[in-house]
Amino acid sequence: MSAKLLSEPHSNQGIEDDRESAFYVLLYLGLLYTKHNQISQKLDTYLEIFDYTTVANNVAEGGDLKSNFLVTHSRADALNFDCHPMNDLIKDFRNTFSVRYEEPPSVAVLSNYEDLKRNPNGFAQALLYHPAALHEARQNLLKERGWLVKTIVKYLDDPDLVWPTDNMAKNNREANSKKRKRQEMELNSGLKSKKSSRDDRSSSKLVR
Amino acid sequence: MVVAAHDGAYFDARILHRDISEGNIIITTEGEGLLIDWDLCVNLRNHEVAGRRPKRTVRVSADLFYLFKLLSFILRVHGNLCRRSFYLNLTRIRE
Repeated sequence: MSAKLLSEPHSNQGIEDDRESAFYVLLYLGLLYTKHNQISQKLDTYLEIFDYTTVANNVAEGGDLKSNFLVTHSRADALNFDCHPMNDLIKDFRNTFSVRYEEPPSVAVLSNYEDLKRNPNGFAQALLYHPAALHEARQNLLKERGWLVKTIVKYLDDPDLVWPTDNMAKNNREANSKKRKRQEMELNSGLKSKKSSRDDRSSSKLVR
Repeated sequence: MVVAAHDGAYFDARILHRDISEGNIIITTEGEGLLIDWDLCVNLRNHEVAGRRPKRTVRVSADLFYLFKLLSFILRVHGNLCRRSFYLNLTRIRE
């Protein structure tokens, strides 16, 4: 579910929300089943993005971590997939979806934009890069037919794209928890073996 | 491609799925992606007439009539391939 719907339960649901959900599905499955640099230590802190909710007046709210992931750099920049086109795709999507969570252009910027639009003075080209124009363009992309498909296909066509060769997808989280379990077991058995060796020694002493 | 199916439903049939999640995407052995579980979808035409957009998903409300219309539309377009997902959908509704 989109961060906007999660933070404003009574807002209206549009195609932008479904498209944002699709992005999270991709990110979630990527985190769980493909190779990236956050598998060993911090996978849970990334998966928490999807689960973060608070309940107030019997209505689930949340999405702060989702919008945070879209707008701010810290978490997103630290995440690096082995598949480079995936990183570029996430960057591209973050750049567009974040428009929903950013501060919109100020009244002054907007009126300046409207003035320039009416009377470009030969700045028609430069007008494309006006902050208000960029904001508007990103908002329009979210609703544009074929945008999501086009963007995904663009990165699927990347020659750097390498599909995993092994057929069996591995669940990183389970692998992680298994690893942890194994470590715990080893630790326990290590303690036991120390204990038992001590016992052995004492028993062997007795026998002697 | 699942996102293309979503686009088609939205722009051609004016139907919004509203429940995109990893559990609602299935991939056939032929490698085709299917978007299933349309029981939360809404017909946007109704909402446009009323001049408002649909509210956030509430689990109870399903636009069943339009769901069946949509499914029969899919069946006509894709034939056998989607029949399986059609039955999957039916079982999901009964749950």
